[in-house]
Amino acid sequence: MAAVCGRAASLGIRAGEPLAAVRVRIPGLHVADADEAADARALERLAHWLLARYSPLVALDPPDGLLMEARGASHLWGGEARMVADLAKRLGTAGIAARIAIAPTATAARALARHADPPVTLVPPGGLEAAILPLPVAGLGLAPGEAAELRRLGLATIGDLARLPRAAAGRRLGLPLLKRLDQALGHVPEPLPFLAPPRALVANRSFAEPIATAEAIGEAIRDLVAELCCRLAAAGQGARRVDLRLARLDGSEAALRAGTAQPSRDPQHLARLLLIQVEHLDPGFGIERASLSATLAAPLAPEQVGEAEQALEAALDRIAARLGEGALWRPARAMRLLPEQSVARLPPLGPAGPDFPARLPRPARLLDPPETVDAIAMLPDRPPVLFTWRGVRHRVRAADGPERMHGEWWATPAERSLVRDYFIVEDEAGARFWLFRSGDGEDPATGDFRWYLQGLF
Amino acid sequence: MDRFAQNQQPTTARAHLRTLETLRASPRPPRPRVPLGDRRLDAATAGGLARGALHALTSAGPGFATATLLAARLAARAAGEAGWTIWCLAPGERAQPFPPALVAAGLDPARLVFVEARDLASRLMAIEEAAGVAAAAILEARLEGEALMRVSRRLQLAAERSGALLLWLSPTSPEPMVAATRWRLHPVPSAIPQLRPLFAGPGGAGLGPLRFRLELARGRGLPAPRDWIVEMSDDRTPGTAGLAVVADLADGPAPAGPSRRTARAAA
Repeated sequence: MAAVCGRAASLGIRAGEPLAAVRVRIPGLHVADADEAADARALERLAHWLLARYSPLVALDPPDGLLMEARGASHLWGGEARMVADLAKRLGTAGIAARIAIAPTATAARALARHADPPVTLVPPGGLEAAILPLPVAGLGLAPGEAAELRRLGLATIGDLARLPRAAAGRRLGLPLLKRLDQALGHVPEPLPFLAPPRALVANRSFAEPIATAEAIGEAIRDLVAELCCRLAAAGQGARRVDLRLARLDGSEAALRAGTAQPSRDPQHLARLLLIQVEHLDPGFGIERASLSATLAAPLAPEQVGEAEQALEAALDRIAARLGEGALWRPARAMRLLPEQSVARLPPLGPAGPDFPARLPRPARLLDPPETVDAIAMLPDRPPVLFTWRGVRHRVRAADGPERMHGEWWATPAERSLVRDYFIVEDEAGARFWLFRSGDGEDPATGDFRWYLQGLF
Repeated sequence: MDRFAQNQQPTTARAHLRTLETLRASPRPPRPRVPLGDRRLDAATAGGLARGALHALTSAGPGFATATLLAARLAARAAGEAGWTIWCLAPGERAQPFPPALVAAGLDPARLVFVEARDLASRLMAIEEAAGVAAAAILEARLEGEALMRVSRRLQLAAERSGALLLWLSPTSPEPMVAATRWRLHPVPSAIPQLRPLFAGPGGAGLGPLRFRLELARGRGLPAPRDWIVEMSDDRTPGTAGLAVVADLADGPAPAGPSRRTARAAA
């Protein structure tokens, strides 16, 4: 017997019994052949249902388990308890007998679902050890022989195992088992083979340096949303739901999900829906990859060009006809590091370019090229206390900085080594200036050690 | 490029004619004003800057950059989620508007068009065209005397016809001119933050929000002159100009203080 239904179980039939013995005991039994391939397919279908309804991160735990990341998903349901209640109700309606557990680690959740008494277990904050230590060692997901071996050694529960001296236990029982234990207790991360999003409306980014700050993640989100919206536009689709998946350095994943009332491919709208959730994210030691997918999409007609747009196009065309095409431009971020090269010019109509990095203090007006000033600074890494610009002396009363900028490594050799330390300074009248000192103060190749004024706030 | 080739096609011209006709036919409902974002400023201006009118923002010296930032915030507020902003630059100015700051002030770079024209006639043509289609149009120009009077009257008429918020941004503040409101900005020392902000490097205690004296020199139907000490907060919530009054200087002389004196000196 591979598996038995509830009524069969109430007759005293257990999985693992020989069929002939059961037939003798209970005549007229309905028996179907076990079909492992069909079971696996059904499990996968159920996984995709979970993926669609609850969480962007779902992994298979064959032959009969599913793992789902609840963090980043349960808040949409008003908490874990409500999400689990909905899940249990729907599985029950579908005739699927299920045992559910939510725990801080995947191994612990797996052990609780399979070995705890109640069919639904939610581990309260800080209650991880209390919840899993009394469980049988088999909860760690051992090979068949291993559990028997441990029982022979008198190790019945996970707690027995955790209380052993580590060195001796490692020698005697093998490191893989200890790793399972550490994963259950959350000391070691457990990367899970999460299912890929079903459809191909995906934007991906890998980061040269792992990112961890809210600003950097926010910027990555904006980049990904812009790319995804281009794909959606090309496919004539609008997103009804977007899933953001972030791969941490340790191989674990975090996810955010956002839904829309109407199909949308408005980058600002979609980005905002994700950005307001960034606080739910735990970047861990840093995020090295991110992907954004439209896991639910609906056809969305191309933007209607209304009369207002037509009038705008016509007016811009008339201005361009008189002044020349180069006289009209929209700003976009140029992927250059020095401020005077950081703005690209796009034609006035057409797709938007990359957005400027938010939250960097930048002056409202820029002097290009920067003008030299005579400045007195006490120390190399300090802002000037006094500077003279265009013959007027400004005494500095407050300052902020430095923000260091480098020339680009791919640029000309002369520019490559450039170093500038930028300061925002306020003079006694309250006017604000953007000054930089050229060079790092040590290597003459990095700059001439003079002060320049580049912008006004 | 192709966009401009379409210029010659009759369809765009026809569409434009049609738009003009619909505009003429339907009386325009009163448009909401563009609030400055602070209760006291909005009370003093009967709710903010009127659309369909010309407003002058001027500041001499380094304060001109602050006026630029304020213009960007007001234009962003006027443009909202869908409107366009057209910014006529004066190529002769040494310090040009720096788009990253304007975008941080709330303008959407996808709907912000700069127009560069050396001669005033071209700039005026551009701004009149822009006023008809954009939510906000900004003109940078140094003007005075008879030319200023003539130009400002022309711009005010263009604004009235279109309903756009028209801003004249100038590093000089000459008289007389036609405008719904005329503002002068003067830098004022900011409050040094008590808590050193996280981003402050070794270079200083950090800076508080940008502070200036905002002077309503003339306002049609408004009590003027009035002035306030105002802070430009870092608040980037869409739809706010982010101004906060820190001191109402009433309409009389301001209380003597270092900030007022230095502001005068700077002006």
